[in-house]
Amino acid sequence: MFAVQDLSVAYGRVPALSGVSLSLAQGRRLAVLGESGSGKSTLAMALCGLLPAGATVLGGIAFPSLGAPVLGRDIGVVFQDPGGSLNPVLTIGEQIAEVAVVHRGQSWRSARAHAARLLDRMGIPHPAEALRRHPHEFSGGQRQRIALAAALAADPVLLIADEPTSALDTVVQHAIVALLDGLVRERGLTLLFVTHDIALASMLADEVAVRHGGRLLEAGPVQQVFRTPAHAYTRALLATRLDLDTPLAARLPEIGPDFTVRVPNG
Amino acid sequence: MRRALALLRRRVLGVVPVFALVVLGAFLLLEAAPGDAVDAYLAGIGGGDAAQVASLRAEWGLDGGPLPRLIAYVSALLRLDLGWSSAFQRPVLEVVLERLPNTLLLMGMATLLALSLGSLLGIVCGARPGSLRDRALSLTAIAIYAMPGFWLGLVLIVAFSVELRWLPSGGIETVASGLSGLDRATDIARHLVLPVLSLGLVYMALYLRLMRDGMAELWSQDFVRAARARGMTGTRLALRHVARNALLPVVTMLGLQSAAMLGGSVVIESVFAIPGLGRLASEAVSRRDTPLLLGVVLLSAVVVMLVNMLVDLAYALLDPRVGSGTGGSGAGG
Amino acid sequence: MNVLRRMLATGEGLAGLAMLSVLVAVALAAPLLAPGDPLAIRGDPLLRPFQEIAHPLGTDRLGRDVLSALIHGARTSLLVAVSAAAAALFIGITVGTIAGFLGGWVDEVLMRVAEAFQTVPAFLLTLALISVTGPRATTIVLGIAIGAWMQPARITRAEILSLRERDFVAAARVVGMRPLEIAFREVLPNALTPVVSLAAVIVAAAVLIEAALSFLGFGDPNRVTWGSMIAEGRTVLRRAPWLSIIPGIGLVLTVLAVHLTGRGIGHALRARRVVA
Repeated sequence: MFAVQDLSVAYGRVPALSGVSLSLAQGRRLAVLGESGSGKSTLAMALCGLLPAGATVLGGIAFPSLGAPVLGRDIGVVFQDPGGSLNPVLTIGEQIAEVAVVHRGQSWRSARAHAARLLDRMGIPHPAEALRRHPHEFSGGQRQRIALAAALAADPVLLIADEPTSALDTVVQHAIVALLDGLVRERGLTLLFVTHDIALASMLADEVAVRHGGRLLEAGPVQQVFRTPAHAYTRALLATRLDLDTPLAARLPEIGPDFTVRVPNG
Repeated sequence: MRRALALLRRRVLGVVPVFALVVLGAFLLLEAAPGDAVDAYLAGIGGGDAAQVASLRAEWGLDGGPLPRLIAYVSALLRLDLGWSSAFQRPVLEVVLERLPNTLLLMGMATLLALSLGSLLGIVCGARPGSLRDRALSLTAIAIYAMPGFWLGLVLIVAFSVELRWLPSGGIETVASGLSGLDRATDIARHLVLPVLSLGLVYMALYLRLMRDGMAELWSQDFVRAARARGMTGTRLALRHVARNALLPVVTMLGLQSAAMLGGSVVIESVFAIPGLGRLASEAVSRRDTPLLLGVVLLSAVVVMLVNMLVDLAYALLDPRVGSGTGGSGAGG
Repeated sequence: MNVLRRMLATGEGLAGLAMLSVLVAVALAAPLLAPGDPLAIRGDPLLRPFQEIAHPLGTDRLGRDVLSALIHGARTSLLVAVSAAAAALFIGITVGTIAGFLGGWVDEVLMRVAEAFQTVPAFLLTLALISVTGPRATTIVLGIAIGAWMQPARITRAEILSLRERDFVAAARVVGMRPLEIAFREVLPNALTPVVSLAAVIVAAAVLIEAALSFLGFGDPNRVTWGSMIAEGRTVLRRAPWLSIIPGIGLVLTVLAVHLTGRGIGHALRARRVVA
């Protein structure tokens, strides 16, 4: 789908990416893993061509099967902040439909019908009514679904998600991840998503790339990287993760089956 | 619609105590002015004897202390009695209502000019901030905003009335011309061109800069980047997404500036000899006719409050977040 | 100072400060630059500008020197405008601090009063005051101030409301300072930054209001002002338009200078706040 060759991006004098080389085949899912903070999204934004003005880009980005991809039509983007993805003064119907109008040449009426179908697939209740409502009338999780609908409205082949669940609470996160999984499978999308959540990466991705300090430390199939990490940083990331296999002594206080709080021994 | 009506009702309730304070202020000013209504009235009819003075005072409720006088004033206002104008020897209400339409016409046209031209040019500038045309227009706007309205009026008179002789230099219509219908409207329109320009250009500069500054800031907002990510570009992006949001602060300013524009009409009407409310205020001060001046003040306050309510309604229609309980302005959720 | 340096770095701040310095210098040095009474008749009436060296900007209808009147007018304009802005800021900051810090019904009442003042056009407020007290320099200053104190009050109140919950206020309370003392000594200095930008806007507006008042004949009759010069020139507008145009240019330059300086200060101060 795409190939990145020796990419370096700097904002003014601050380097965000140095010498990153990466490629992703069509239909595969890549998780870009790294610490929280600015700069992590840089790779994703560089691929889209959405870097802020004043960013210097060196190196090559190529899309062999797409030639010169058009944002919205060939590439769909979902951002971290669900509140910041949608225009507050327009209805969500207008915002989803306009993607279809602009990229697929549909009429507004058919584009709105298309938008309603998308909202339904995304799990938004009463989609026909919802078309006329505004972003602030929906919850964060719903807004992310709407943003997803708008990103996919023109049937792109590549979906880029920049920390799509970081701003949502855990329960909602799982729902969105399930939705993403289903959509990617149905439409045969190529997925690139940026995250700091190892669990998310292991659930959703086929391949993972570990980033730290502007460099790409290692990349490869997700099972391989997590079972036999090549780099010390990857090992550290895996070690500090809490899950059901973590020994009791390392855990924090937990809630017992009778809803009392118990502090584990040691 | 329901949201708009609820908003309106809240505004009307909020406005009442404010207007009460304005009335109180007017009353205090009336007290501070030398002489009272009886003196003014008698001065107009050539004086009167002590018995007349006393009986008039009693009749008009002016013979007690300040509190009875306040009550008399307020009850008169509730009867729409704004007092007696010594300068015109007529009830104040009559005089001000006569002059009101001219001022409303002047202000309305000036606001229309300022808003439409200002927004349009502001969008032109804001579509590409930092470009040459943005800098040229912004600079011109800054220069215009620094101009006193009355001076601009005189300059326009010199240019268009004296030198070019295209437009008349004063009045609202040609006196005793006997015109009616469309001809009269055209005549009035010709007379209004220069005053409307003088009053409106300064506010046009303001709205231009507001629109432009608003748009310039919005370009870096998240939702604009997201719109770009969906493939929105060019005019569609600039108008539907950016300008539409930048309109909101412009509309807010419209409400705030209504009072200032009314004040500005005082000088403009004097420069162009237009028989309006503004010029009436000026005359009232020169002729020490305090009730008339206060009549103008109260009526102006009413006009400002009405305009503000209309603007609030317009804003509520433009910004779907208002009055829905989730509140907040700006692009963040 | 740092603020000054940052101000001079922006084009606006530099231009504004330059123009303002020239104006203030001219105003202060008025008796030296244009000695004698500006209202004295010096030469032939209605001389065009650049015609005679003794009267570089011409003379008016009565033969008074325009340049001399222009320089003295600068003095009056700046003096009245700055005094009025200072008065407006004083009243506004005081009211805003009291409202923000005491809260409750005091806050409600004060804000309603501010709203009432804002409902009446400022120029009419000034006219109303002057009609009762008569047009003297002090009453004009006060008249302009009562039309301009509301915005500083709101801004100060907003700043106080956001700052009073912060830690250093709690610390002061622990030490035992009384509420009003805390308000004026601890919270206020931090709240002043946005008010400073506003000051420039008020000064600029005051220049224009004072000019309008003198133009209409309600200014101080004992002083030369640019407004009165424009009004004078209006009587001979067809024959000698420059008499009205020249003082207006002075007004435009003054307002422009104040605006640009204000924007420059605003940028410089905001940059500092972000770091803090």
